[in-house]
Amino acid sequence: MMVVLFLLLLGIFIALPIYYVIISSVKPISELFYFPPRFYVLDPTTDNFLSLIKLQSQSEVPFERYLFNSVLVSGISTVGYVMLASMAAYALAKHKFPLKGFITQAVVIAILFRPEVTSVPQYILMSKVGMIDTYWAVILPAMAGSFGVFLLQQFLDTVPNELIEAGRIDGASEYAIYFRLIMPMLKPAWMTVIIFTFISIWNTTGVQFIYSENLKMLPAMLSSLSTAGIARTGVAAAVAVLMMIPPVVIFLFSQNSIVETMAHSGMKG
Amino acid sequence: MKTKIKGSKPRKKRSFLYKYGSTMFFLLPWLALFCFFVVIPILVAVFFSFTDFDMVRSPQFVGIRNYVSLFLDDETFIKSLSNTFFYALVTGPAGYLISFAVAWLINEIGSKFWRSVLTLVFYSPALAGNVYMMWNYIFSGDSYGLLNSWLTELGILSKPIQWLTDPAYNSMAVVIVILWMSMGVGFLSFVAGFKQLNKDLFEAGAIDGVRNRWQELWYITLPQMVPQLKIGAVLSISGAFAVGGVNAALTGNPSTDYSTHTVLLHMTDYGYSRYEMGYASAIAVVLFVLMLVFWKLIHGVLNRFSTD
Amino acid sequence: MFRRTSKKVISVILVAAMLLGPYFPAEGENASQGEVSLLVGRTGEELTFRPEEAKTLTEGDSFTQELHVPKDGAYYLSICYRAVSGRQINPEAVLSLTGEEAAFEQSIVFSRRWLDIHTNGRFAKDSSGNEVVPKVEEALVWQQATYGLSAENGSGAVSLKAGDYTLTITMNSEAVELGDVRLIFGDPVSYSEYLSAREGLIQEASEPEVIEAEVMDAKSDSSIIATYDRSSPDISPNVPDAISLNIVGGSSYSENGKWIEWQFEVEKAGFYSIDVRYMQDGLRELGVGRRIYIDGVIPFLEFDNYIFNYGQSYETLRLQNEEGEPYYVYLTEGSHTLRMEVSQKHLEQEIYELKQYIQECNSMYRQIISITGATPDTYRDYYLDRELPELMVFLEDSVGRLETLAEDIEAWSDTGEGSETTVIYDMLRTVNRFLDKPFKIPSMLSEFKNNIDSLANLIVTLENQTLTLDYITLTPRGEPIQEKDSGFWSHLWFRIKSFFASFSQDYNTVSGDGSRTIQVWVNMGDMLVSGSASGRDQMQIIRQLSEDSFTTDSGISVEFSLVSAGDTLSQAILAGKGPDVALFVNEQTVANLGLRGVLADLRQMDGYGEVREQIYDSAFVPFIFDGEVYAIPETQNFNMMFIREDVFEEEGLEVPETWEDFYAVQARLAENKMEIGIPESQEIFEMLLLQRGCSIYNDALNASALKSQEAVDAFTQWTDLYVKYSLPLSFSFLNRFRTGEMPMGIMSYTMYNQLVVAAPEIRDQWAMYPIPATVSEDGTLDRSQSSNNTGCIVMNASEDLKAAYAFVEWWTDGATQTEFGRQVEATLGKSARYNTANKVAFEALNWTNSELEVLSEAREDVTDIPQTIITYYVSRCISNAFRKVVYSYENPRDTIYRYSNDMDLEFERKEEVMR
Repeated sequence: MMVVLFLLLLGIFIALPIYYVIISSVKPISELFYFPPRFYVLDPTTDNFLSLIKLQSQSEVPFERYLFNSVLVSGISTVGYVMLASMAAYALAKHKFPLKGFITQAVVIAILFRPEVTSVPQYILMSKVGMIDTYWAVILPAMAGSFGVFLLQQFLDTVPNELIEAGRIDGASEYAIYFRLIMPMLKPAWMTVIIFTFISIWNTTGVQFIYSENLKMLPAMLSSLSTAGIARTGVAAAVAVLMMIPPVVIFLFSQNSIVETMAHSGMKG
Repeated sequence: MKTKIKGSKPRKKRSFLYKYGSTMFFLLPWLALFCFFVVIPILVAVFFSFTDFDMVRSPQFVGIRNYVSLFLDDETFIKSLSNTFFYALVTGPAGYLISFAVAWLINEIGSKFWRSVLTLVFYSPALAGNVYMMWNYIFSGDSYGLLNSWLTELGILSKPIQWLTDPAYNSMAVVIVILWMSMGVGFLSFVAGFKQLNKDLFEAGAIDGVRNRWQELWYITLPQMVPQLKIGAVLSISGAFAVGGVNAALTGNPSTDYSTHTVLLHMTDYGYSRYEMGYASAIAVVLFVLMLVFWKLIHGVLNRFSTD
Repeated sequence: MFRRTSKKVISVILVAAMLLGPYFPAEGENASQGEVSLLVGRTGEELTFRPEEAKTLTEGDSFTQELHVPKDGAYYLSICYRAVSGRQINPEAVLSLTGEEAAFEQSIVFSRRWLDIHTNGRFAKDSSGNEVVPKVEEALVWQQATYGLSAENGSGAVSLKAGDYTLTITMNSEAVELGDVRLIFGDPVSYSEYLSAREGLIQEASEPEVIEAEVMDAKSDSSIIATYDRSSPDISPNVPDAISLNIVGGSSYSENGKWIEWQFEVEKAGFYSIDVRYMQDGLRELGVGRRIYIDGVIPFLEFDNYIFNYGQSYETLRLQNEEGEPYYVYLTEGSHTLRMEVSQKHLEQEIYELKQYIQECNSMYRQIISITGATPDTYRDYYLDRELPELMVFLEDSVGRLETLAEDIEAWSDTGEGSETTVIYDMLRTVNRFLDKPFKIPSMLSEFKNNIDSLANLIVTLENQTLTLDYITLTPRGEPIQEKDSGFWSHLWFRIKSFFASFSQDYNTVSGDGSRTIQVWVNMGDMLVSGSASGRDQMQIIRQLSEDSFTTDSGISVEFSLVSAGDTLSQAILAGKGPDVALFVNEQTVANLGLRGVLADLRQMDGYGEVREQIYDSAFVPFIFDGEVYAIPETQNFNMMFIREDVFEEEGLEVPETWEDFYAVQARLAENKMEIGIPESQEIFEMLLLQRGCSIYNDALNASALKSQEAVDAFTQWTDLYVKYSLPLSFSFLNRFRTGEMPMGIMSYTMYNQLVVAAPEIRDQWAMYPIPATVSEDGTLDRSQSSNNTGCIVMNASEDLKAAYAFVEWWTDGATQTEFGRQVEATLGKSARYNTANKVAFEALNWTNSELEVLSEAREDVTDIPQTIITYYVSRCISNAFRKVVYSYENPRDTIYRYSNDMDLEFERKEEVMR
């Protein structure tokens, strides 16, 4: 019990800023500008959220469109990535081919690399191919990351090869093995990859690559609301809270799966 | 093992496509994207590091001039390097240990409900994105800033301290915030690792004379968790060496006298503020090599622990 | 906010004072009134007035008239006037009435009359089918306004005793032609009297008449604009695939005295009820007041301040009394007008009381901290009850005052309990605690301050009488209310349609005749960070304006994008995807791109000469390199000194003119533990340098010039402010200025925007002054300072340079900038006032005349320091140098020398790299 208490205290400290944002979102304007900022609210109100709704009504592009864009892009990236990554992970874990070792190493190393460096070359490449200002500009790079491949590969490594051999002996083609045998086994790992990918795409604004207003996603739209002036401070807090909800919900639902994946995905050798 | 079909002539060489067709089918889609969006840009960046590209005009080849300047002429780089090491060494292991310790404590709790709740609570900084701006208020240099006013009330301070702009203090502030943010995927990995520990080994250990929790930790728990420890390490290293965003948000970019300047910030500074992309690319390459070296080291160390 | 000395008699400020009492023909002997001659005219029609009396009053002029009051009672002044064309702000005057025994004085506003230029009865549409906000023009016609003489505390009309009086009207700003001025006996007609006077009038069958509120026939301010709400099909009119302007409301229509007028036709005479479809989501428990006129006259007392209650969605309300019985007005056949004017009459007294109370609180607060300092020592006993006996008296009084205040506000609310009064109870709690344990006061000081702030914010809330109107129906008696509620499915279908429409709609492009297209990027920026505020709202406005005047005239299509320029810009240019034009680009980016040959020299633009004249010269400085002009300035920020005049008066201080004066004032303020706010910013250093005639760079702009004696002096002076004079380094000016503990500060003049919106309780107590000057050798005062600008640029790589130039020419022209400024302020409120660099546009903004004068004068002294290839580095060096001296107490001369060398090194390095 002591442990719980101690952790709770520590946890409160950790969660403080987030708590602050949540509190801010229900503060009326009269309390938002207190300095130093307060951690409690005297007069909670839903005004900020209502203002947000009102602001939507004054937008040329309807809110649903931004939501749609975010969901579409996050959805396609996530699903696409899970599929591509699990396929690649299968090949890397269970097949033999030249360069296998090299690619495996590259996957791990690429995790170390920072995206800031690659953003300019990426931009140039993408514009040569004509991808700028389309959904693809956000979807495709999201599917190129190696962390998911890495996780899945580790997970697959724990699957005994015998199972696969048995499948091959039984005359199943690689494709059949993959779809009927492997995919179901990977389910918990999928959940993890889905969550991480989703959360990261959900929070990107994509403004470096997307200019058209009706293609922009939620974070971009929400941040452009707050640059219009100090009148929107409370709304910005409401926005932050709303943006936090999907990741938290998804995380809660799949805590178990994540934990299981992680349990299996340490690195061997 | 491929069985030979009776009567067929054994072929000497299967065609490449035959042997690897399915592999390619599985591997290529992702690999293609990976190459296009990750590998090629990295190679281009490496290429840039040998030029004097200024983002606007076409790059001119200059050989290793950038690297030479970097190591011989650039004081700020040396400073940012030392800062980065400092942050990496302090927050890397510290964050790592804290994540581990918290995961361990959480594991000690019996109630599943509390475990879930606490895991969420500790992971929440990672979930929430940019909330660390809140720390700006705490560390504000205003005499009414949270920390300042609290310390003044306690009688410790008589004049407000500029936590974020005074080189004497801002490193400390940054370290605190980074530690705060350190519970990320690594932390989850540890929580998971604890769950799948083999109970039998613990009993065996008790019988064999393991006396206290620490010994248990060292000899039994840790070795089983090497894989998770490694993941945690990779992420830690990657995060620690690439620290920069938080610093910039809190102490300004650049910070006073480059006191919280890191290699990453140095790179973006040259790239975006000074329009010297070639030089920035060189810095990026150096950073990457650094991380690689460290990774190899840690990898080797952790391998010794492995029970596999 | 004009400067004047306070007089005991001057009461509520202009917003409260433009009271129009119920005007109705009364019987009895009296100075005047013919019911006909005092009607407000319709558009274009002339009023009857007595022209031989018409005289033009310009600023400073006075008009005097003797009046005789026949009997005791409440009177109103009716004034016929015609506004003289000038700036857009409403002319203001001071009215004083002196009699044998009593004297009254108050400020009044002569509101102008603005007309929207409608197309086909509604609005023009752009090429995507969106309705466009119309332009306005002023109707210089005769109007009549009635002013009530109100008591100082806003509690209602003042009774005049019979006798002789002298009336004086003195113009404070702008000019009017004055016509008939009469004193009218006020004898309110109640609704029942109104009805009984019309008994027997027949009601003929008729159709309801619908007035779309956004189609305004006249309004009191050019900033009241039609806007849109796309969320529901019930808002009339609304289409899913384009913007229909369908509502009017917002912050411009929320201040006391603002009005909107509509004209409508009545087919058959009869009794009509007024059904208003509105949404009031501003004041929760309290209502929002409107004064309703039919044909220029308030028909009966109950329409003097009709309260609209809170609701989160649109509803249709038939104007009715408390029992739910509708009010009917009798309308003859033909044309009529309906006017709704903002009225905060129901809250006036409370607002007044709040303002008084807060003032006294702040004064007490200042007195307390003059003893304890802003952060009191918790271990010390200050014995405040002995030191400040008036404090205890004040606190005791407070209890009663606060309780009454809360009760009064609650009396207005529907449920008898107001969330708006929570803050009053908070303060009450604090006061009681103070009374209980006076020794605790120092430790609870910040609590007290926060309470004061909340009360001040309450004033903001109460004064914000926002009402959003969709349409108004005049329904013949007997017909039910035409409620429109399409139901859930209809709503859903509407939203689905608009969602799908978003795929075919082009939100970015303004299509011309298809022959040429240019791309324009609007830089997204934050006022604090980039010096200009610009977000989605601004972009939408620019798009509409471009549609309206640029594309229709030139045929050039324009594609707009909202981006965060800076790195995106360079990347895009590199990849060949850059825009033709970019707006609101900051100085540094312009320098970086310009010096690398990416930008076009805008002197080649056709209208360059004209544009150059319209913009302050100083704004061009950071955009000129080697004589080539790479950007046309759009916004310009510079510093002004903000002074709390009331605090200065209390302390007997004079506003400093020079830096010597400044130090003297600082010493006096420090005695009372008050502070001065000068934020740590390179601009202050530049200011001091410029005032000494030097600069950061040498003339050739290839080396630093900070080693000269003057530069070192400037640097020392700058750092001394913090080292020697202990000015605070980091503070929230808004908060401290409000309480008065920081009665002076040097900030960007855009701080005005924030203060005006967030600190209304001190609205009359502060003003902007020019920054302190350095006395130069020949004795003249040098007030130079630098500025912080953004500009618009054209890329060299543009495929259609001519089209790009045409756009820039159009955009930077005074007329366009003025309209942009007007719409931005109308849409986002005063806090977003456009800090334009264009003289014409600047003068058209809603500054009062005195403010405009002070600002324009200050701007004359703005020069600027040019940008160079190492500007980014220079700002670091200066900031580091500053901090070395201020935090670590190093020697200023040595420090600035060292960093100056650093800068020179960087110059060399950069030159090498650039080769």
